[in-house]
Amino acid sequence: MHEEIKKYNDQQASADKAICELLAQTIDKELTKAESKIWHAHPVWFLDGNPIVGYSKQKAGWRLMFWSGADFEEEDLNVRGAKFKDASIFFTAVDQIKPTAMKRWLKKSRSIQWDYKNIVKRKGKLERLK
Amino acid sequence: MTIQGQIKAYITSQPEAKRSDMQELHNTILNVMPKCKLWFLDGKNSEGKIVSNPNIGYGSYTIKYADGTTKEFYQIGLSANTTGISVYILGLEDKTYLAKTYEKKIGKASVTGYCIKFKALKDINLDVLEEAIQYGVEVTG
Repeated sequence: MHEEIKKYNDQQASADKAICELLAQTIDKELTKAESKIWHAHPVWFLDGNPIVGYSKQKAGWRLMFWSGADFEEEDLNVRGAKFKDASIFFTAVDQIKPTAMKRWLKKSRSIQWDYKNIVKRKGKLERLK
Repeated sequence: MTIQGQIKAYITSQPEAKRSDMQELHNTILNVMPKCKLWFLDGKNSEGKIVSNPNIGYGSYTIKYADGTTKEFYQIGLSANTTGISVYILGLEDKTYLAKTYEKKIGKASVTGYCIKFKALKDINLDVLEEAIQYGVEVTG
């Protein structure tokens, strides 16, 4: 696990830490070629510079967000952004995280990507990359 | 909040070293393009979560797409990111021009067809960056 992300997880209260650790470990295991870092204050994983998945704490719980998740056709990723292609799920306890579903989402996150990395080059327009 | 207010808040929110670099770059670009149109793309999704790096934009040009539609966008972009600062020079038709003209003389920066990326202002020659911005503005203006 990336040192900064480990540090971020360690700073959370114990119930939150368990959620963060399971999320980070599952992502690391599936996205083996991803670069991970703390980006805009939260852990985010990138493939070839394109943001793929990350998690952050919000009022409703821990938000696991897939940058291109709107096209995964996954009903549990039902918090959809209207402006971009993100889709999220919220967790408030570690046992809500279903490893099988998460693995499936992560597999899709490699093969379905919108081009956030080049959004400026495309003059603010988000285009499908894969 | 006004665009100027958003830009100010964005620059102020940067960690110290990057904050002063961003302020100096903002002033430099405004010297090259006084009274230009200002833009601020916050990179936030509909729920206010950041999904792409925020960008300050300067100037305006019209992009013409093959299907006949047009879009207005900024000529010069400025963005802070985790590895440093990116200056975007948009709308250049020759995608090799920036790299072949400025890469060797700008200092420690990576130069692509539309972006000059560096860790800190001290690593580059600001006069050369200003020249590149000036070129971009003249070509697309």
